[in-house]
Amino acid sequence: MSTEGKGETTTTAATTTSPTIPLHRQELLKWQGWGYRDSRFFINSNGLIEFSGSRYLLSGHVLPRLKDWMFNKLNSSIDNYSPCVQEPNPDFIADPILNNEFISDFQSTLGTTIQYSVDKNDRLFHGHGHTLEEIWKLRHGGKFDRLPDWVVWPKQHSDVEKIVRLATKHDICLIPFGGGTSVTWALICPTNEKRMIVSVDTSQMNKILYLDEKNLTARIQSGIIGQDLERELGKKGYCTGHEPDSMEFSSLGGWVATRASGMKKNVYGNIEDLVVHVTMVTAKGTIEKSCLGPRQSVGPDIHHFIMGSEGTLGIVTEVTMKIRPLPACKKYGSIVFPDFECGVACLREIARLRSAPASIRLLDNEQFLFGQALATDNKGMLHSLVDNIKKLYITKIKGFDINRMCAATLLFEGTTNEVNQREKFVYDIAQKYNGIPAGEENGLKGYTLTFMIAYLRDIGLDYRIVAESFETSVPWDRVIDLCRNVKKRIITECEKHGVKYPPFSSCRVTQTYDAGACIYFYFVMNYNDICPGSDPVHIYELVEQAAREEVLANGGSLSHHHGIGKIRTKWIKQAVSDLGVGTMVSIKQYLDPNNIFGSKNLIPES
Amino acid sequence: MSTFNPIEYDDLIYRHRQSSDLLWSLKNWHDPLVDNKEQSIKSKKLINKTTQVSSIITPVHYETLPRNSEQIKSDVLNSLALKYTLETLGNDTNANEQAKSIIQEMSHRLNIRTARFLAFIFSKIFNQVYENIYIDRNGIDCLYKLYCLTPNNKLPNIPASPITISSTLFAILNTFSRSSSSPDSNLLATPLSSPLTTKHYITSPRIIYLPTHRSYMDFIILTYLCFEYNIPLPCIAAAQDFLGLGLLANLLRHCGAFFIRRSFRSDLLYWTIFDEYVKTHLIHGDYPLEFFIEGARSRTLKTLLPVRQGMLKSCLECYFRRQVDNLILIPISINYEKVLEDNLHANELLGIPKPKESKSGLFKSIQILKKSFGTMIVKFSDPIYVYDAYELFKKQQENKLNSRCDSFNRSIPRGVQPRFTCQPDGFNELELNFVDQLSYRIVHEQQRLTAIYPITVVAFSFLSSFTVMPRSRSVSLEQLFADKETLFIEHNDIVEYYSTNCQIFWPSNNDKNNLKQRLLSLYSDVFDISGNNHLKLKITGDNLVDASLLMKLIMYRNTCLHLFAKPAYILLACQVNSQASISYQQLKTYYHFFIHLFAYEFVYDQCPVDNIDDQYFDRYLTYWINKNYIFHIDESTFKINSNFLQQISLITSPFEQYARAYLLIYEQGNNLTETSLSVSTKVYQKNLLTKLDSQNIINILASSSNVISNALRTLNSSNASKTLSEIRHILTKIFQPVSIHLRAKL
Repeated sequence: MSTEGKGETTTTAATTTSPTIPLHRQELLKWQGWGYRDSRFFINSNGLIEFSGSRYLLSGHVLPRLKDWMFNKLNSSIDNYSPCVQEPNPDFIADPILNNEFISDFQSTLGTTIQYSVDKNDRLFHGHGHTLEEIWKLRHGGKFDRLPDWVVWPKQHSDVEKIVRLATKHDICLIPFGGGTSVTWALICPTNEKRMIVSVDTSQMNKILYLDEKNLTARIQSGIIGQDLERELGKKGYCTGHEPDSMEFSSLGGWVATRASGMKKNVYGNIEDLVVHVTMVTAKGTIEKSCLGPRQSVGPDIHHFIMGSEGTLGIVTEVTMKIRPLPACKKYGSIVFPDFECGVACLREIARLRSAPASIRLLDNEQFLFGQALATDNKGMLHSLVDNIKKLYITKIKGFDINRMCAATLLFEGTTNEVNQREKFVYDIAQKYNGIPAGEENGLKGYTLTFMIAYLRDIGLDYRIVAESFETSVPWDRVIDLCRNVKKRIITECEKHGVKYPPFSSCRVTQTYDAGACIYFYFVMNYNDICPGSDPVHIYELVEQAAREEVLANGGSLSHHHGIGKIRTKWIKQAVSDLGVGTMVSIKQYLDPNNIFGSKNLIPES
Repeated sequence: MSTFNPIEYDDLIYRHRQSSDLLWSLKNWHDPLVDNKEQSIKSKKLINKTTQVSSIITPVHYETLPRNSEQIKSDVLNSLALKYTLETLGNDTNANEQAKSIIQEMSHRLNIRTARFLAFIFSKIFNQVYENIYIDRNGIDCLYKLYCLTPNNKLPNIPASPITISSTLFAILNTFSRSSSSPDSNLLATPLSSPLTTKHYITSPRIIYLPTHRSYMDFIILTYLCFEYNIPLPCIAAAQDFLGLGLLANLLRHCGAFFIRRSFRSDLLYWTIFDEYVKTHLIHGDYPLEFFIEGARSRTLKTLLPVRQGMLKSCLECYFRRQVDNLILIPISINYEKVLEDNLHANELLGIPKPKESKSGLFKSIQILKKSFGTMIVKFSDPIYVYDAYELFKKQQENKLNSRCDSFNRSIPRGVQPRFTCQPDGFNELELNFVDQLSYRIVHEQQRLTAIYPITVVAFSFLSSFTVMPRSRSVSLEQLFADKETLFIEHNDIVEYYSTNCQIFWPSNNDKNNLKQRLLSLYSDVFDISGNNHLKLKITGDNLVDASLLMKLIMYRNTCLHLFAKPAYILLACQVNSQASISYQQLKTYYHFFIHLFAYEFVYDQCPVDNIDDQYFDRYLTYWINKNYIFHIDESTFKINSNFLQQISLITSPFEQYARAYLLIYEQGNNLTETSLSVSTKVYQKNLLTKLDSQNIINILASSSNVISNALRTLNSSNASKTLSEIRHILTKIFQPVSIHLRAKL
């Protein structure tokens, strides 16, 4: 059954890299969950939760309080174990729709240089992203309505051009695939697509073509994933500074296609600030600017419809990006605030003075307490004594209420001098808002938590707990109202839909801007004992929808950096007006009249 | 319709007679919204610091809630909305001073000490004046749930708080220090952790009480209740005319009343302050609000059109801007067996002017307090959650609004509007429609809770079937019972739509003596008893006095007319042609004609619009056919069943009388040149009063200022799209032949 192209790996890149992601993703990555196969939370022989592997700070550590938190706060129990299936069920995977003319044409012209596959698992693993619904389906064997029929792995820009040319000729539907970390159903194949669907996996286009040290830019192939990019640049003493939370797995092309945002945008900027030049292959050919000038007034910026096109217009193949010398000094920090309002006010003040560190995040009380539950236990007696004294100081002497407290985590980057100055400045502001510095270690732990969150969902699912996150951006004056209202809405909706146990509904402010902030919500729900017959994923979706409606009603945006995909198309008219959508449609019409890039993202089906 | 069952209610009077009023008024009262945790000195400092600096994001910090009235005032004065308005007005110092004086005049000065004082006074008065004050226990439980307190499911008739001297002393001490603790033994509700809402302080409930307004007592009763049940005392919107009351106005102020002008739509400064003042209460959630959506005391005891939409709009805007996550509206129906000022109301309707609110008037009214006013029943409707209501409304409107989409005539999306300014035109069409629908729903909910007292039945019996009432009119008790059956028991199904919560307050076992005693003692100014148990009216012979007597009966009858209005229109239309048959189409046309005609007189569940197709028409028609009151002649023509003429005319008589009164008014000629409604109403009333005949009910009705102004408003309303002559023509066509017919019969 499995016929596999035997492309020779001949191309030698300008900079030899050792790409993290193998051709067959499943060799390294979990097929049914997040991240590396060797890294996961599990309940060890002592009945405590432990994180396996050796890749992360937490790897090999036991988290003694986590289980209690899970079982007490979420009312979950060890008996409600719902493991996922061991292997995807091959019966669930329908036979591919094959366009024989295309296949013979492809094999005769490109078959020797471009690898391809019709393997069931390859197809399955290119047909989903990481929303709860998709992971849920995978854990139950992988029953998707429609999957890509083929997967191809181009290695360079010209390969993509050839593939798109063939696809146009034979009317094939192409869906670009980068890191596969979409959380918007962007990778799900439209069920009503009758043509052959080819998933174009860019993971082998992972080279840095050249560094331009005079201009501090780099020309990079779009398939490179974040961690490889930073590592390779790091070897030469540079970095891009673009670090989205998914940077271990997400790709440059994906960032461009979804208007990604990085944690350290305060210093380096978001993707739209970092991109100097983009090359995209559309159904009509390659589109790009002919100049590397830093800012241009030549009509509407074509980069701005390439960025955020979510694979509906073409495939981004190469990007010229700004790079920066590696910072001399990198320092974490943290502040505790008596309550969320104080924290937000402090962040607002820091943003007002434009003195934000590379990253500043404010966790709300729920997340703050959750963070406490993630403490590892390899500390001595003295350490816990110190901890207790600190706690006493904050709650008794400073008068903080443990049920209102919240914390901010900080990351400073720059020269040692800059970092020290900035740090002092930020802590001085914080003091005005009753903030108390809480040490570097807590800051570091906070940022590690970022990479753990996605792994945590998998162990939650093992114990009948579903979880998801979503984000928005909102003007400063609405931040507090939005956070409170959305958190409340989640709780009320759960109540309405018969969820028996209190959900974990929490948020954090993850980015500050001059005129607003980005807010990230976490929603965790235990679906034990819901009304018989109702589907937890469906309930979950209804709650998420209501939460999104609430976000919009509160003046929040439809998305800050996740994108629209197919999960949010129904609100896009409301978000950008009918005429706005019409404009997008007409761009699509011009560049791709035959809907070759037929992922159906972004634009609602009328 | 069910008979009133005291088991479901708490009787405050009974409770208070068991214990000392003084001790009660000094009982431990504690705001459930405030953390009752002692705060250390350090954390107090923290609060001060926080309020100072966090104003960038939230003007007020939760630790400082509830604010006192001075803080609220200064919050309004320092608000961005006011700043913005002052800038628009040119920023002169004059406007600044004006703003200060406006807020000074408006602001309440709610404090628990005065509330205790008034609680004491009024518990004395209430114990004197009322036999029972029944409080809907379910409603209270519901409120407790909203405040996350354990409902006190106590048996009735147990004095709620065994009040001891020591607990009182403790409470007195507490009065003077804000931090109160040590909950009173069993009265104080303990916080209940609702199953999912782990932290109720994420948001305290934003409650708006919307009581009916029939009497001055309405201002007091809810605050009194809240004090009794230990829930936050509301801030009450009152009209500025009350400021004339002097000392009492001040007392009211200290109990949470704030005073607003009657109309100020064009005065931007006043509007801004008012808007901000209302909003600040809701946004911070420290006090619930209370206002009367009908806008004025209903002199006729009928439900008025919900005109207080400005206030409702200000409240809802907080929600539309999502400054609050939800609003909880609680319509309340306060039912009086005898309204405190029913004489005044009757006189006022007949054009005898309302005495200006003054201290001397107040003093005079004290002698009222020697009489008994029977029972008061306070019922709470299920809370209306604005979030749910609006979501539902949007879904309903989705289909309707899709067709028209004018991209050149946009309304600014809420997400783009600045939140701090006061924008009178910030509402889009959908939201405006929602406000309209919601306000009708509120009065409708109030109507559904009506309690019917025996006086209503008596009024029905006295006033039925006659256009001219003979002086010697008397009604036997047997007749009363029969009429009660016809009106409220037999036709349960048809009035059910309104009356699921309606209750009739009637002596148990139909005890005749009890009823007789009750009527005679409560309404000693109206009734007399003649031999063989016939009630008769105390007719004096003075034209105006007798008219006002009848007017009182009309008022008490009004309390239940909304139950019958729509179904009765069908009967009325059939009755018109009692000899001839009437076609389905014609019947429907008449039905809609009456709905439009009485659009201001009887409030329905929605505002009648042009081309309405009332959904209930067929239901009502089928009902009457099943009842045999109407029978089919053939497929689509109907005729009234003359065997039931007596029952039918009992039901239709009020509406016929109103229709004829309208006709009488419309026949007054064409002096519609006056632009102002109130002026032309006076002109009409003057004319009609000259012909006042105290035996002619229609004549009296037509002399009522309320009826005149409603009739004129019907004419002026554009949606009726009928001219005076048309309406007159139809009315004449309907009623003249019948009246001749009826007169012949008499």
